[in-house]
Amino acid sequence: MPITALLALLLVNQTPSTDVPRAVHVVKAGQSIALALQKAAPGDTIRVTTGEYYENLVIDVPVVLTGPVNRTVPVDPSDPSPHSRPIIRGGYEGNVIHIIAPGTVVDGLQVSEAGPQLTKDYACILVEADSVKIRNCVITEPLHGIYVKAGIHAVIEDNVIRGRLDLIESDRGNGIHLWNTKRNFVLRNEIVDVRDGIYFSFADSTLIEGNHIHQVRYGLHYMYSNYNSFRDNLFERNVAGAALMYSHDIEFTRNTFARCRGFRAYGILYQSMDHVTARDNLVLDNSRGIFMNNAGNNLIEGNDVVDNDLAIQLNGGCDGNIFVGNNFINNLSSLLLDVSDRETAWSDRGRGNYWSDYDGYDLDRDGIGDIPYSIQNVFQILESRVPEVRFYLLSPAARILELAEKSLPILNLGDARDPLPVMRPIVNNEVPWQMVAGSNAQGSVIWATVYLILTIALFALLMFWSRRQVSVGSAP
Amino acid sequence: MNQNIWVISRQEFTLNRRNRWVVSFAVLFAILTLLIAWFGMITSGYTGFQDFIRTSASIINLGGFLIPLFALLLGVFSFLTNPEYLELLTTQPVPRSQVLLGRYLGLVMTVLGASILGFGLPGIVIALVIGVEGALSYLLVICYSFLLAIAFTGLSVLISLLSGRRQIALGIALAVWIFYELLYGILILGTTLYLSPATLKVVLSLGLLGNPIDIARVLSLLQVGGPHLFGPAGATLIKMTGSSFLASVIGLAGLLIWVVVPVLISIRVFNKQDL
Repeated sequence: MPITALLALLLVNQTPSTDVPRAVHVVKAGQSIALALQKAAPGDTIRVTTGEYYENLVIDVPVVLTGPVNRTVPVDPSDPSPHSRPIIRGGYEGNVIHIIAPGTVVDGLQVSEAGPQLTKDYACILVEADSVKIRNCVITEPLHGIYVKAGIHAVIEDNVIRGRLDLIESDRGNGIHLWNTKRNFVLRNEIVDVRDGIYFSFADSTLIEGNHIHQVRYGLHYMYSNYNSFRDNLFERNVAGAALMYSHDIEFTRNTFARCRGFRAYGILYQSMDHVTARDNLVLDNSRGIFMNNAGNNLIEGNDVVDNDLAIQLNGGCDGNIFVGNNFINNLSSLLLDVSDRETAWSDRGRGNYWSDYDGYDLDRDGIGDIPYSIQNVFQILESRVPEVRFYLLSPAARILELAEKSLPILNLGDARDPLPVMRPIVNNEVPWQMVAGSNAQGSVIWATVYLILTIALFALLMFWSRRQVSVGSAP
Repeated sequence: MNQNIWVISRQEFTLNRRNRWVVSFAVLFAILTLLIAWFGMITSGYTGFQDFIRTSASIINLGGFLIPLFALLLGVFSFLTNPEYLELLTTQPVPRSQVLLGRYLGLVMTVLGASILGFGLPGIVIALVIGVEGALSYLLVICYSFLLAIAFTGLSVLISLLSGRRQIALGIALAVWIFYELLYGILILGTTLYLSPATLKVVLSLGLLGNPIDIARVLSLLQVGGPHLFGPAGATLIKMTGSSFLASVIGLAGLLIWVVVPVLISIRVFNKQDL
């Protein structure tokens, strides 16, 4: 993808100002960082000693603001309170760190307690300058965690952002909020318990890589943000893994969208999207895997869509989408349509997808089933018309209807057909199964024993209850 | 418990336990459910939880398929193979209602005893794979299945009393089984072709209460998969009832009605019956 290559080039050519520190100012606990900032010249380093600092900083000279631990010591996500980082507390008022000097670096701090007023869009770190780096920081008690407002080329890497559990979801801010910006890099961050993990509004040409975003509303939320790519991220237990809205030319590869469960939960949500390429992603164990509304000309290729209640839902206005080379395995239902589907291509360049409930045959042994796969069965078509039909999901009656339709195909099963269904699962080692390998449930030997003992005991009890001697008609 | 009911039910259970037919059903059912649990939970294994939903659904469906048939046939055979036994019991100084309740409870115990291995043993596999959450959910699934079995035992007693002859009773029992197992669902799904969506919302939701097998299945799926397993329909259910818990309570009440009403009618019929 040329966008990504261009972005990578930019990153390499960028010479960080951190390489030439001129003076080092040491701030000890009890002293003021703001005072040190006043004395600092551009390019200086301000080294903050471990301790608590109650300040709302405005960084107006390009300095390196760092704790004693810098990026050579990575964030340990399992450590809930990394004591080695100095804590800067904003006292729940305004922004905690407001950066207006281009080239500023913030490294190895814990930044906490931004003002909670959503209308003011406060953030723990507000960036209004270009080429700012924020890395190795822990952000707690935020409204927005990091808010990049109209600055370009921010690099946000290796941070941990924890939202406020004491606020309801709609009162929380976003983990990383990007507005009117471009050419940013968001790498290897962990974001949890915020509203949207990373929110894009008019934020173009951004690369999102290696982040772990969980227990938020939308993992990624694109609004009017084009030419972006995201890859190798893990989105777990969110309302939606990624909500892509009103944007075009997005490419995402090797991400995992897992365990989004709820009435309005989606692995990947497309709303009014164009020219989006999804490749080698894993969509696992969601209420709905891929949801599209008014989205066209998108390519969904080589993904594994596994164990979802519903694999794909296509609403109105979806045309020109191509699904090819995907594995659809073990989903309770494959496809829900609210209009007829004539515009979606379920195969391309001589092959379709693998569907685990395809029961056709392959007489010529070319690996492609000889009869097309009707993606919707008769039950799903009824369900598309009346949602309440789903109460009869997995019922013998539903199964009989499906079987009857298959042996006597007199009903029109709609237009959704994969003409070239692949007979065996497509081997694709790019799909990041290792991220969520196995089950998140822990087996319990104790409970297994309980079941064993209870079953045997009740059975034995009943057996003992029966009489040895049968004496028909004996009076009680 | 009343001494008379206790003795009669114990006698009934003992007679049924000696039936090879009952024993072979118990063994067959246990083997089938264990196979389902094994292949569903262990060999397919992608993520556990979805497998759990599928496995539970399979066990529920197998239980919903075999247990009602077993209960219906067992009741009919027990009551009508030796009708003299019932006549003999009624000559004793015991109220007729107690005679009937005793025999009914003995049948219930037989059905539960024959299915307890089949329902309990898969729980071991489920607990080993899913752990506490799955184990507790599955426990409720077993309870729902047991209630279903009890409901059909009551129906079989009612059918036996009303028909009086074994051949007729067998025919009716099979018809009842096929009706609730297949026809009911097909008829309900068939209405989707004729009614308006607004009417269907009511017909399909309330229609569940008309069939104990459907109630047990939906309650079980609600337990293992959560209401969102049903998509927008689940949302409608929550909107109508208030919460997933209340929906379960309503379903459970429906199931209990299916358990109690056939027995009450049976007692009424039996009290007035001229043997």
